[in-house]
Amino acid sequence: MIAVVLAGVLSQASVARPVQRSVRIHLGAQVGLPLIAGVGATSTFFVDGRPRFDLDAWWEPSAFLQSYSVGAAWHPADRFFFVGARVRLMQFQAPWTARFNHAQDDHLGLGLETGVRLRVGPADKGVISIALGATWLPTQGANLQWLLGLTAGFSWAMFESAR
Amino acid sequence: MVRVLSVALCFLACGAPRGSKQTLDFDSLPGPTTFSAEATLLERWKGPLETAHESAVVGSFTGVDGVEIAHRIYRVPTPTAAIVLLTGRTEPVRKYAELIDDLTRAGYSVYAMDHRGQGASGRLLPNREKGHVQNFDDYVTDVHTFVTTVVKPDTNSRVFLLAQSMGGAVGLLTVDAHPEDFDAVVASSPMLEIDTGGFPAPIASTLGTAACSATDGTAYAVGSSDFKQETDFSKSTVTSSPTRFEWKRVLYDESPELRIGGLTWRWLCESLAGSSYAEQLGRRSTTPTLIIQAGNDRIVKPGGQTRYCQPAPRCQLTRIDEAMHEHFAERDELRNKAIERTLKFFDAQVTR
Repeated sequence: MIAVVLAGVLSQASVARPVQRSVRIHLGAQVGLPLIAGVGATSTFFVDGRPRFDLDAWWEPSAFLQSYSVGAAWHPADRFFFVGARVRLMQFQAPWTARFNHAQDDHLGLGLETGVRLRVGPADKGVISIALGATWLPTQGANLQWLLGLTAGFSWAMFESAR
Repeated sequence: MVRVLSVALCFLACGAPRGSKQTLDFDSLPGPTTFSAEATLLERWKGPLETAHESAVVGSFTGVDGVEIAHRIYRVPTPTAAIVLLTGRTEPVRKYAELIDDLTRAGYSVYAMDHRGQGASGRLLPNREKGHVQNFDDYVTDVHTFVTTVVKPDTNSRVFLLAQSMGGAVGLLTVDAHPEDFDAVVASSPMLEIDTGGFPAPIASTLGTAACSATDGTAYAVGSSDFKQETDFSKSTVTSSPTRFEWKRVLYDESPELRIGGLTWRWLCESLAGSSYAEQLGRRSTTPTLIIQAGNDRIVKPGGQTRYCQPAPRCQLTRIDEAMHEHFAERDELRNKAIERTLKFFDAQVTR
């Protein structure tokens, strides 16, 4: 795993790719804490052949806490690291359980995150993502007002628009 | 989603309601001032206290998921009002025999219920000592069932709630969900912001929710284990009364079936979520409420209690500076203050 990440990091240092793609859509999955698993789609927008912005949507289900979220990220200097923000609908019971109570269990989450998205594989179609974030839940009391998050995931480009 | 956004916006923009609250000046109000004393407690336990406890009307009802919920009724002739008593986590009703005696002698009938998973009520896991709950709302549903099927059919009096710690959080959630259940509430050290000790709250909540998301949450949380009898008074985190500390030890020696150990991950997650939600509810409470805050509390933090009470138009917060978490198991001078204020508050609701 470390070797793959290192190889990915080194490969990011190369100069602009010959193909001038403008947007790619990746589908992927991730594992993490406290949200154990998730599936989602990420759109990466390229400028001068390098990724500059990402927009994504994730569903992270579990037996207890789950999250539906949309996020936006910016790659400073068009490099592999990113900073981003995320809006979540968090649920403190799975909605398919009998005890799910919309009024009590649905909460808005506002988050900031940072990490790396390393492009790997043929034509850089794979993306290894590692992110650290914090989510603020303004509608919760002090005990649950902040949740920290750590995720690691892999996505694969399924659609590409080039110019 | 619209509700979530509106609550979030109100959280940012809405302040406390304008206008001053009506509060009671406890020092100027008449009321009983003589209560059970440490000096005679152990002797009285083996006499009138245990007799009164054993002569209570014992019953049970079926709570959520078929769990048997045990209760005891201590009736007095022509009661001033009925008090529903909710204990804290791990505490059986038996531990409140001394307080119940003080309340009945002051003219109140007492209806006491053991929460699911503790006391004389049914357990949820094969290991009887694990402090576990599947959903914090189950506690609330059980209390509502108790009030509507046991308490109100048994009395024509007003129904008040007196609740300690976790019982306080459960009680305030019940008041929000079923405001018709209680005419007034006294919450002693209500568990509205759990002190997560060495773990900062964001780390504790992240670890807890991760464990609950990945597992069924029935394992002991980190640092928890089966019941351990506390024998070193110098390490007491809930009372500064050596006599009442010793009495608790006697109770659990006499009744080992009442012992509850540490908490499960699921209990932790549910309690973090339940107490965090309860903390927000003061702004829409119209039930007369007294919160008794302990100045030396090491189990819950005072912030949650203050944030509940401050925007609640009919909530009064009173603080007993030297008291630890369990006001009603404290040294006489502190315990008497808590009981005096409780009774004066209830008396004032009766005369309104």
